[in-house]
Amino acid sequence: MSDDDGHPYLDIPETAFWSSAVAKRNFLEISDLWNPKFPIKSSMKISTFGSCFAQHIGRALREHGFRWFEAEEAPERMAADTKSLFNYGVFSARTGNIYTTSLLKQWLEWACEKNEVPTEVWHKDGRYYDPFRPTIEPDGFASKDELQASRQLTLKALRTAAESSSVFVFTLGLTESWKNRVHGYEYPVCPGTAAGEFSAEQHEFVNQDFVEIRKALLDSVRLLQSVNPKVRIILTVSPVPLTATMSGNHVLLATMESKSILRAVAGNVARSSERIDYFPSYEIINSPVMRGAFFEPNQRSVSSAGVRHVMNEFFRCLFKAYPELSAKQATAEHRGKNASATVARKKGKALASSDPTSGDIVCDEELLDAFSPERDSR
Amino acid sequence: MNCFIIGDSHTGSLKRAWDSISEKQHAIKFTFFASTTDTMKDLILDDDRLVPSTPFLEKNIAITSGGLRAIPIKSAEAILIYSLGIRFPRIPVGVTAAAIVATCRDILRDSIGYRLAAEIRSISDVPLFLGNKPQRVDVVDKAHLADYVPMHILSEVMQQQIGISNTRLVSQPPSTLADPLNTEFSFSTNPKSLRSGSRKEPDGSHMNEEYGKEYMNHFITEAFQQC
Repeated sequence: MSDDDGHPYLDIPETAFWSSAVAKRNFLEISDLWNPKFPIKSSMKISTFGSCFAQHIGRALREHGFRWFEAEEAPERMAADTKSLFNYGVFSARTGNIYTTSLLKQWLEWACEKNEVPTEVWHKDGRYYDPFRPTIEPDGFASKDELQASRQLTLKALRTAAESSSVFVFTLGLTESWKNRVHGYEYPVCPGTAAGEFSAEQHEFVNQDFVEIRKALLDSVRLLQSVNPKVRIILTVSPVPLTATMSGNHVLLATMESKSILRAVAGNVARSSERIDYFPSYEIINSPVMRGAFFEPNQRSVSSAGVRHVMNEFFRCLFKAYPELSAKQATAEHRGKNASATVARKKGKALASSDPTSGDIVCDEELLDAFSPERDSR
Repeated sequence: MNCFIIGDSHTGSLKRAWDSISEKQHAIKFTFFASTTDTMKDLILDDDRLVPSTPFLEKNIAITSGGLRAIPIKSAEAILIYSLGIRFPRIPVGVTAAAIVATCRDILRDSIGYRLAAEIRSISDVPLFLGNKPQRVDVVDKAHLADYVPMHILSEVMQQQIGISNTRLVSQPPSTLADPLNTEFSFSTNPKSLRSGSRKEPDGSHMNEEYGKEYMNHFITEAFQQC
């Protein structure tokens, strides 16, 4: 094509045009919003951290047969609702929500022993609370020692996740943060809200700007890569609006500004490396063309349908870009089902157990042998 | 003293042991009621008996008890509920006391053994004992023993979580343990195949007659201080 034959827009795909990609479609059929930079195989360890929306990603990965990495596992045989109560299985380690990029950097520095964990502990009604994850235990900790031992487990798990994950997913949530004026470290929530006591002398509000957020994110990426050079990173932005703002603005304005900055940082950092990608969960939920359909009536919480829609788009785009993954995934799921069926068959008609341990297969013989008539006559 | 033992496949080692030591224990009569895996879940409380609701369980109850078709609770002067989902979890050091307590409570409350204990208690004041599924011989690698909560702590916590009157946990005796978590390897069984009679490799979970002797002697000492 010569320069006179047309213009560059003639050669761009349909998804580049609002009319064909958006306006002429039902909003539920708007697709191809993500062009993944790298494949995610079901064998890869995937860690998820960040704002509360990140937990949906981890859960969806598990449900689709991917290897979501639970680096800090719950105690063996803890019931599902108890796990939830104690915040196991929410993120890959029990960090609680990591709302800001500076909090991510802080956690990674502690885990990688680049910085010492502050000694600050909150105390109320005979229980102790971790300032950096104040709601991680339903009733706080019994002692400072217990708190610190628990946090050490979490830091060890975070380090493991950082070192051994093939894919590290981080969801950016907030620009607004609370810091200790004297020592400079950051709290995930304002002291005095979930726990602790607020002191205007000790605690300061900081609404981070693009430059600060980008720097903290890049520092975090460098730290991750220093312990795991092969790691790939997926950034997302939480679509969940602010609960409250200290910015002085209306919460709606504060939300829009905050999310816009986070979105800009995520895009900027993702463009800086082939190993860093951005997945548009924020746009899928929040774009005006979605008409707020994926929010609960409070216009803040994302509905389960919204989460499902986001994650369906994640897998659809992934499998479209890498069709071989789709086939392998289907095979892996099929293999999993077949393995269960084989175990059930081996256990025989008489066995009603759902416990697929081979030990119990041997044990049937063991038990019957102990009570066999031959034995009684021996 | 008429004692019942209600359990799963792990009851086999106790029965084998009792066969060889019963002559020394004239004052006690044990009646066994056992069935494989979780099939004891099909026991239903009917008046003052626990009655199997499947032919498979009925058959196993009959085989293991010497011909009884149900468990006549009122005939027992003590009952040991053995294994049946009552087991100690592997918990890293650093997990909070509250989480350990919650986990032990979850395991108890989710177990068939606990359900049976509660049902028995609803019709009888008979002393009840719960016995844990034997610790495997390879719960934790020896190099990492210090990273996990020892069994005796878990046993204490679980005892506190029972909440059924006159019911006590009789954990496996220290003499069966190689260390704070693993059962001594020599107690691991070499089961014989029923079909071929050939020996199988130890599964690390099911214990042999020697283990059964250790447990039965321990249980008799523990239980008959109370009965």
